[in-house]
Amino acid sequence: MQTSHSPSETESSPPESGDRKIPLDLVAGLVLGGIAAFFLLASGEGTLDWIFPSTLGYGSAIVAVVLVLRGLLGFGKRVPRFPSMLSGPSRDVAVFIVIMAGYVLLIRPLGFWPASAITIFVAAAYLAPRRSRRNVTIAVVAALVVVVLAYLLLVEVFYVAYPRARWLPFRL
Amino acid sequence: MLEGLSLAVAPASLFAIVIGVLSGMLVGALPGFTATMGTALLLPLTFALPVDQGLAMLGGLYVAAMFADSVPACLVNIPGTPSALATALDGFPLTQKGEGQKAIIASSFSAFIGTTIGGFTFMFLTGPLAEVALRFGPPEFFWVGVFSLTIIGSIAGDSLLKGVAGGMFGMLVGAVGISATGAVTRYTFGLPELRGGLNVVAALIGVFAIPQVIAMVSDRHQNVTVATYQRSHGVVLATVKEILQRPGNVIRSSILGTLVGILPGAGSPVASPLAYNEARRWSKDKKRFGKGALEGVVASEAAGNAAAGGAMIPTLGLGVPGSAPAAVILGSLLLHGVRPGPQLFQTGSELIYGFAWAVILAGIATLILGSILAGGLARMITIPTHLLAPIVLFLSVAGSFAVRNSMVDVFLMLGLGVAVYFLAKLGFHPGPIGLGIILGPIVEPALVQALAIAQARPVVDVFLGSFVAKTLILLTLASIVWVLYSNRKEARADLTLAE
Repeated sequence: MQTSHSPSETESSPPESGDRKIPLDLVAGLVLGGIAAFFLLASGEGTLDWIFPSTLGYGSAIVAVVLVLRGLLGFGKRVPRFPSMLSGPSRDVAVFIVIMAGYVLLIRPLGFWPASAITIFVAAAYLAPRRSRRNVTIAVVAALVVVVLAYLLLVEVFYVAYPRARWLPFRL
Repeated sequence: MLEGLSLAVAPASLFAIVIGVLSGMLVGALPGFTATMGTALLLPLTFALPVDQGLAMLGGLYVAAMFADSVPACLVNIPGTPSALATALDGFPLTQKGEGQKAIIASSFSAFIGTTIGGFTFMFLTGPLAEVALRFGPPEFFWVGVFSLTIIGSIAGDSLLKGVAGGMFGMLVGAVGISATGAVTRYTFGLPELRGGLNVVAALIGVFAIPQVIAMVSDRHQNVTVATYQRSHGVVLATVKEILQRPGNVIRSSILGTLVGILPGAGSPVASPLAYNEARRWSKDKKRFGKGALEGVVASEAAGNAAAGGAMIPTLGLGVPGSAPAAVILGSLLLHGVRPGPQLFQTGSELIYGFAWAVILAGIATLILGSILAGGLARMITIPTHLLAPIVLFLSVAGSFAVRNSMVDVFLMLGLGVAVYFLAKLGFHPGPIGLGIILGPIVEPALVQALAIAQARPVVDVFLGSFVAKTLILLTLASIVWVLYSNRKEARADLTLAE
């Protein structure tokens, strides 16, 4: 995945006055610290059962402290303090995450195959470069073709029992 | 040996091998579907067949599935199985450069070499290597796991510190569920659905597929397709020639894969990343790794497929399954009334050699089919991202559910995927996270068992007592020193270039 590249560890830039950027390592350290705290607070007692995750939790906490210190000392890349979530790629990502969440929540009530077809159609139509009848038609066809082929392979060949669409009068 | 060959090349056996290979390619290429599932699905079909043909079919599926998991890894950065994690690190960047067909051909050829070396090793060295496998107990497995974790240094991206943190996070995620001793449930928060923990395959789909899908969504205006497809003539021979120009890499990886494969429970998921790490360590240009280095794909695939052959050594030589698919194959033997073990090599040697030859022939079939299909498969990446992203999402959900027929795996897969996407924005590379998820369930049980043994013996004696353990510790220390040294050297070289 090529979503981002970590900064060089030797790069540093002093904050300018009025700069609304925050050191990336500081944010990373705080997030990692939160994860470590979560796992450590949820840990129990008992040497053999908890020695491994506890060690990992403390190790993560130590790395988190180092990252926070690096960030506070000004090392590493700087990122916008409040990234915009309402425009461009960030909005598309937010909408797509909502579509993913909606997909898995609809599987039980609608059944796996109808929910999958609807999701592929909605996502493909939303992500299409232009809103046009052609692109909507392509989205419909793609959803149906993929779902039908997958059904034949996964259910008829591999016998995987996906959640059924109980509201349909036939077995699907 | 020749009787075994005559069994393997009988028309009925060859047909069984082809069926197995085609099934294996289908199973391996679908994210979430593993060689274990494929062998289990095909097992009932073998009841009606003579035992040698049934074994040939299952062996063919195993070999083909170990190659086919590289197809989604290379094309859309989704490792089909844990062993394809290392393949994805360089296979997908190759696809992004328009060389997806080359990546798949390299996978199939490396898989063929690995299978051949693993198969011949199984044929000739089962006895002595099975004895080696017996020397590995819990402390030794623990050190194998720790040594494997040093691979993080090779796949951490630009920040070794964040790579280590990612590995620890992956192992923590793998700790959800029932503990290694089975006495307590961990991080389940009272939810019975979490007692089963997070399935490794579903977790890997989450770590690699979902962030990739979100990245496709985010970048779709700049990248209408994942990559371009460039048809090139003679790519098969050119790729094979390029691989054979560095024979040391593919041979070393195959031998390493075979040796790791003989350790029950280790197998391809450990062999592939280890071989990748060694390929990077011995490369003259380490910076290319992670950006489309063919040697990375070659090392991972050769080792992964060689491990399949290696896994047969304890399976048939000792009656101890070397891997999950090997366990299904062992079951098939038992159902046919054949008892694996040392005596099988005396009373049923033609069956053993026939199976070994069938595995090698399956490697050849995989190479031929893989080379033929590579072009067509690589074309799939020309599907526009606004269609490909929802389709990959659907396949990820379908695959995650299929592992254990559980929606919990789907929810956890998606949640982990979204979390890893944002962690990647903070500089935490998904590779170490995936490696931690794979190795955590190997390292922790070994540690716990070793500590339990240490209640009756001195701890130092348990962890440092055997020659194998000491060797592994030295290798681990050398690997850590090497990682730190090479990272420092690269940082100095970058600084010099910048000046």
